[in-house]
Amino acid sequence: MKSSEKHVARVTLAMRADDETAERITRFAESRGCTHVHFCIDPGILGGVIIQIGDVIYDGSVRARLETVRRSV
Amino acid sequence: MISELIGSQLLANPFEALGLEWQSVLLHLFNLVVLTVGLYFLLFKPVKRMIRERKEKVAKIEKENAELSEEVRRMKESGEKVLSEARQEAASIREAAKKEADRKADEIVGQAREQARGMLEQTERSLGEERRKLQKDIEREIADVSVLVAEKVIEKSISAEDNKKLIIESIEQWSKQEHEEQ
Repeated sequence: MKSSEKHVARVTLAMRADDETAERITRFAESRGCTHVHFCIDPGILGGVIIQIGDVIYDGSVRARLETVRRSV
Repeated sequence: MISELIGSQLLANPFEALGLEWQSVLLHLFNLVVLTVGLYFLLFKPVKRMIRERKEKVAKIEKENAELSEEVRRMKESGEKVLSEARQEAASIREAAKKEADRKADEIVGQAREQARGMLEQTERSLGEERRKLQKDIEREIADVSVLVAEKVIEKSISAEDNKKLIIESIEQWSKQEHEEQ
């Protein structure tokens, strides 16, 4: 992995976020050393957000939550 | 008259009256004695001895016969005893064989029951496992369908506000977790 990728946060959303939400996400990424934040839209995650910083993935998507519920059943 | 005369002469001198001489009579008597003695030693005594010997022989035969009868009786008793013992032994052997056969039959039946019980338990276990597996599959199927339905519902019904709340909630949770870990 390139060292530059460690400073890039890849954010996946189900729909376009408003400015306040985008700001919160950016702050979150910056507090973890990121200098750049890339947003992309994937309706497949249904809702919530997935943030990937380097090898670390923060998955707060609705799909992940449903998957957790399904596995627990 | 003549008869009276003969009677008186016979009484007075019987030998003369009968025309016999006493020497002749004496000789005859002597002959008789000699004959009697001769017959006694030559005939009577041997016949008597023969009769005694015959009696002794008969007694001996009777004795032997009695001994033989006793021997036969003893042998018969012995034979009956042996036969009785043989019958008892045969009955004992038959009883033992019957007991052994019963024991083996019980053992075979017991083994068969044990085997049947084992097979039944194995079948019940298999059925239980199959039932649990089926139940799990159904539950998984239900969960999959439920999640699928939930996805469809959420996909259509989730609002921008709900999405925002979810995002902020997630960010706060991650921040809190990292803060706790530090």
